[in-house]
Amino acid sequence: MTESTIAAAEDSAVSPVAVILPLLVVGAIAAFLISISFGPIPITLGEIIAALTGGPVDAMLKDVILDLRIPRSLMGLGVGAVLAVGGTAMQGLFRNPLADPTLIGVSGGAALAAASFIVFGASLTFIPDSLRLYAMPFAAFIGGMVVVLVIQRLAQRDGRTDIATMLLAGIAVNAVVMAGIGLLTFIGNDAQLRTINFWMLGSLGGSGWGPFSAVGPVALVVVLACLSLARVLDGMMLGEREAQTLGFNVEAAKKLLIVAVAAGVGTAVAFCGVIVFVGIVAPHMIRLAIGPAHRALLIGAALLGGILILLADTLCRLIVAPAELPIGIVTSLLGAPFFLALLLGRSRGLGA
Amino acid sequence: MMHRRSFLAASAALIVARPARAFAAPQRIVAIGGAMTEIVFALGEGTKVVAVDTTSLYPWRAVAPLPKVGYLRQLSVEGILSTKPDLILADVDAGPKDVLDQLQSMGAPVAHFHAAHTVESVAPKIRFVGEAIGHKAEAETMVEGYSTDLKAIETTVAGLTQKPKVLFLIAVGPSGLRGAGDGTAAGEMIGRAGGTNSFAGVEGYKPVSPEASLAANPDYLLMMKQTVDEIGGINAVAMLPALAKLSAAKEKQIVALDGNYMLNFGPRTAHAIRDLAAAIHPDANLPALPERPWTTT
Repeated sequence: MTESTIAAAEDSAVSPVAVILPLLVVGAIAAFLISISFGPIPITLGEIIAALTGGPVDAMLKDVILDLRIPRSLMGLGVGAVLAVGGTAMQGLFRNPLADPTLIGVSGGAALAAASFIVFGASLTFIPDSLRLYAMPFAAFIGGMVVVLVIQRLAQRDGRTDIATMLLAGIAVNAVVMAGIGLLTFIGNDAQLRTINFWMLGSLGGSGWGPFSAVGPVALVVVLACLSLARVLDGMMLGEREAQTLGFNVEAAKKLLIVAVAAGVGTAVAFCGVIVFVGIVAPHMIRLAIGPAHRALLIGAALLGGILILLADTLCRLIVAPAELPIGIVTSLLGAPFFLALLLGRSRGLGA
Repeated sequence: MMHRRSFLAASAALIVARPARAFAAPQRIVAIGGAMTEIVFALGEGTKVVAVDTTSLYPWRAVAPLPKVGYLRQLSVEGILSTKPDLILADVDAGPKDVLDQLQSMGAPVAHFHAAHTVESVAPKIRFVGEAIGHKAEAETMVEGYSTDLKAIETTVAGLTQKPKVLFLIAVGPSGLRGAGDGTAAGEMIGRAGGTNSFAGVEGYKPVSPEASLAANPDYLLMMKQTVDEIGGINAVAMLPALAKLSAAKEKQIVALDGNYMLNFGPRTAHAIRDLAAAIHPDANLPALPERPWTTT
């Protein structure tokens, strides 16, 4: 579909952006509707409308629609958008198509903190039970931020952030973080091990209005913050010095981008675990379709990220119902081959 | 249509309004945890079980075709609700906690059993299930039988003079061995059966280095039958490079018991202790325990 749409768009001199972005908006709405319509409990569209409008509907179904499916789907949109925008921003910042938020240590730091909480949390008896549900996401968020700041400090050279050093420092610190998680899986008992394992594969299963009230606003702010830096990111494609001569405050932009991505992805990971590949697939697919200009790219990636997560999550709920599959398995399993096919198709097209 | 809906809504409200512990004669039970499932079936209410978790493996033929709500620590609210349960029987490990809370608040009554996995937890567990499914008298009979059997095997074990060293291996693979230390179900069973846990002093299930296993020099290797079958039988296990040097492997002193039978602390636990004790004390000629309805399914 996209290939022919793009070709058609280019032929008729209509900007692909004008075609793709509206399509993505429609796609996101469709994905949202699909994700609230399908689950292990069969629910009809009529029942969804009734639940939303206060019409007559079975009380249990109403709870399922209003307290499980809708917050979960909103969560999916938010998390998908944040992961994809984070990936786009990191690829722009590092001028590297393989960059994603993992590289600056957000996911790793969050995972390490979460794993620590899983193993040692029970001994932190001062945490009241009512807050326990949020204590782990909070720890994960802090862990992600701390690791990002450490990597960022390590990459400071004469008052500016050296991107190449940051990349290498990121790899080194991530290795330390992974060793920490490894150590925790050794210390932990079987139950904790299973929990860490599930968490590392990601799931929207813990969604609800509470978690969404944290993820939603953060996602919105982060997407807007990255959008506000779209032109700097465009400038940085030429090189940092070039962007500087174009009049951008590159250092400030870098710091803001890193903090925004860390906060956004940190929050997403904190509630949903590590969901891989969306941060790479979504921006690349959009870049192939509409080119590298960041404003449209960020918007497109955010929408596609949301679509991918929603569809993947719907599959997770259906494939092994009444059990649930971790979403990371689906995003990798379906995302990677699709992505490869897209890349191969593209390069062959260019070679011919 | 309207009538059905409002009736459903009304009945849901009724269930919520009832006191939490009065689950009079539930008709659609979701059993979470191997022992929970086993007890429900043993109390004769197996036909009312509509779904189980992935650790529920006994009675196998009855449980296998049932829908699985996933691993007991990673349950999903909607998945369980989709089986329309009127009772969710959850063993201590079931979770996450917010999922159980959410189920309860959505009108699906949850009976959550809280007691660590020990031989002593079995009787309260049987009573708990009996009360939840309205079979108190049958549960009491079962507890009596279980307690008699447990006392019998405890007396027998107390009379044994030898305490052979037993190493339980939960995993034997290319990445090494994983043994059961203190605070594990396997460690508890070894002690109850009159053995000494070779891997005592370590907490939980931990990797054992080949050297450490040689140094421990266990008299018996204990494994789940499932693990042994995967490897290809006792002889194949004895020939594994990681084990071949052990005298227990050379002498084929390898005991394989069904994982659920041995480790889930249900009504068959007394029999499992007897079987393990008999296997590691072959010269003692331990008497068999009487067959019970719940051991012969």
